[in-house]
Amino acid sequence: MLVASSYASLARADEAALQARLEALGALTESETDLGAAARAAIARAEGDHARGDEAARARAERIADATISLIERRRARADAATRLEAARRDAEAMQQRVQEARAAASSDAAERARLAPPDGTP
Amino acid sequence: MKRSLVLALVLVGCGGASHASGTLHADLEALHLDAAAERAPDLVAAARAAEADVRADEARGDVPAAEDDATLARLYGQAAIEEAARLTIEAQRFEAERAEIAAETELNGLVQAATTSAADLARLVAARTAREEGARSLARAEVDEARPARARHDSLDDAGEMRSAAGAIRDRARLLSAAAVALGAAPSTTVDDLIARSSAASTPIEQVRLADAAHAAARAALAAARRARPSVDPARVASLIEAAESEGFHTIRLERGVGIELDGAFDGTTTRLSRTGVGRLARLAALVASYPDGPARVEIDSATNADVTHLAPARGSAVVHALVAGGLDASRVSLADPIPPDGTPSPTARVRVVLSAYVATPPASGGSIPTTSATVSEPAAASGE
Repeated sequence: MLVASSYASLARADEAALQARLEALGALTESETDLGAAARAAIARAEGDHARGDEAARARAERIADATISLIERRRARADAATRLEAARRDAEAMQQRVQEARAAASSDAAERARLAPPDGTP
Repeated sequence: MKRSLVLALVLVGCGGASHASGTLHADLEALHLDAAAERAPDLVAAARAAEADVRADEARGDVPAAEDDATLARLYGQAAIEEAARLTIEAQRFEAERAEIAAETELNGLVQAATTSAADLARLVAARTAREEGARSLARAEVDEARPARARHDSLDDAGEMRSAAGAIRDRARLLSAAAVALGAAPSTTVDDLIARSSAASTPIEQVRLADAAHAAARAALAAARRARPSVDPARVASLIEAAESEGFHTIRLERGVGIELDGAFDGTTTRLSRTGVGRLARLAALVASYPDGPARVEIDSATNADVTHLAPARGSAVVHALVAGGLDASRVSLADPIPPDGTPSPTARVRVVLSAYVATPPASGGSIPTTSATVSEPAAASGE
């Protein structure tokens, strides 16, 4: 009886952890709404399976909830990576532009040096 | 694909249809998991394992388990695609950042080169101006020499300019000759003789001609002295310049070697080193000591003619002592003759240490040494003298 009670507490803790992860995502975007609903449904189903004593079904529902939340997290990570990529490309292009300007200035300096060089060819 | 995934998720807990493996395989094929396997192998393997679980579930008639495992397979498959895409984007970002770093490195080099170039340009402009003024003075003097004696008095100012120009050229000749001696050459009697004759010449044009000849002889002597010594390669010269610039010193490429300059070494018009000067000379001593090739000659610019005889020698001695105290081998350090004011704006306390062995572009042969000094190009009409 004691073992069964502890197991039930552990199961609730897992579902609470899943719920906490889901809530930690904050407001879901429109494209994430369906997945969020599916994750909540899976958590609710896990609780129902646990209440019915079907621990195998509960474990599968928890894995589904976990995988669904992970998918949302991965999509956000991908979107963040895309944002960082755009920023990095902008920075690289800006730096390249500065290099082009510096090259042009160096070329201009070289021409000016050639113009000012003494007639005997010494620099 | 997203719609099918959501449909699959909605079916969770609803029992779903039988033979979940039938559509699952087609769904996973549509995701092109094999392409994602390289970047997200664990997730692809999890999707494949879940797909295998579906078939096992169906084999034993466990439809709910088959539907759950099919859902998991789809979720893992989607996750694999997302992860692979994210890693691809990250790789692109790293490449963009690498390109930015490479561009920044190139930019820093260009900026540093531009700083040096700006200083070179300023000196070239000054040299060109001096050259043109010298040539004009020479031309005027030649015309003047051809006039009757009375008419020459009309050009007294020009004669003064000529004498000043001759004096400046003699000073440069002395510096080059001293650099050659510092590199191990015997003192040049030719240069000394020409300088003496230039100083004693009765006409300005003769002073300029002889001074220019002395300058050419001194350049040749310096070139010969450099060829007689193991040369310092251009990379090492560049290294010295870069090290000096990074220490905050200004460098200048002279035909007598690389000059490292510092201003404000002295308090006011005294011969006492400033607190800043002491610290900077200690750093300069350490820097020069780490480039041990050849002599190091201390040059002091003078603001007035009086400085040449009084202030500059005392300051030069103070700098030499400071450099030796800072760890520079005393046998390498010597004090050059004070440099008279040349009319250009010059700080009252500029100190220059010239490393004669470090020449930016070693001459391949003859006396064609790179120079920024003003030389007088004699017109063809004067060649008969």
